[in-house]
Amino acid sequence: MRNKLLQQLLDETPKETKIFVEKYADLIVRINDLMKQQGLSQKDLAEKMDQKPSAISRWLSGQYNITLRSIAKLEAELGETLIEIPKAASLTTRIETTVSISPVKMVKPALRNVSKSKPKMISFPMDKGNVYQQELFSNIQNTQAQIA
Amino acid sequence: MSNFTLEIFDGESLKCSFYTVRYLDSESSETEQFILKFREDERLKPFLMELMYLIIKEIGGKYGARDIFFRPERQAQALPPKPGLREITIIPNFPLRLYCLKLSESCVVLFNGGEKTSATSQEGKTSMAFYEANHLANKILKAFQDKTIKLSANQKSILDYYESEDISDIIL
Repeated sequence: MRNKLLQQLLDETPKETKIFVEKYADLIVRINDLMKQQGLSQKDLAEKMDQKPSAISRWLSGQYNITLRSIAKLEAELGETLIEIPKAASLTTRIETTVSISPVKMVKPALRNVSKSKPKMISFPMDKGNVYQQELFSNIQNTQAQIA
Repeated sequence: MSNFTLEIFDGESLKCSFYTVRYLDSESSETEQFILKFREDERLKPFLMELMYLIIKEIGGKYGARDIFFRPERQAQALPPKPGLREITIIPNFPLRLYCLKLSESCVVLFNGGEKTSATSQEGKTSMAFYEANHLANKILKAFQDKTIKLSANQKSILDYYESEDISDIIL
């Protein structure tokens, strides 16, 4: 059960606000977890960074914004990445797709035209190999049988 | 001050449940009053949204009530921190204060709050909400001591003496 007034407010909250809060909370928790892992107090970290302990406390308690420069300092002292920026997708990204071809639909109208005109040579791409051609011929034969 | 009951404010989040307080003579709970106070305020509404999103989605849904999200107030200054009144924090340069009582990493009681207009909670516009929240927090902690209410085994719900989750008729 969730309070209705609260739910209304959450529903109205802009995406930008949500992203900001998520990222800020993730950052503060990550810094705090790394400090715990490395057994560092706010005072220890401040000494390593040539800062006053109150500066670290202000970053972590939300009294000051954490700037990109301070994130860089923290990453250097903690020896871990705090923020990771995904690489831009390559412009030559390969697009793969599956196309399903129904031989009956494709060959049936073609065969109708063939039956009305003189025989024509039908060619198939060789790079697909003989198997592909055999399958296609077999499908054409089936289609012819269906038409008949 | 009048008597009050405890009620669920958000029981849907995975990591932490939130309760609030409703005075017997009041139509809205303390935290509803906090929302109503700033919902129509163009300047402060964005901050209200940030705070509520932090509480419900980040504390409630993702991390639980870790100490990093709370600033102790008054008696909770001692180490190790005793349960007591706290203020939810971490969002930078934040102009609102919302008071709460952290009962465990999975259960928090939210009270009312106000706009931060002074260095300390005891002064400025938050003064009244601060003293009232302190009074409520003390009464709730006393009810825990008296065993009128208790925390469930997973520390996420407040139960009555008979271990029922329906605590709406317990008047504190």
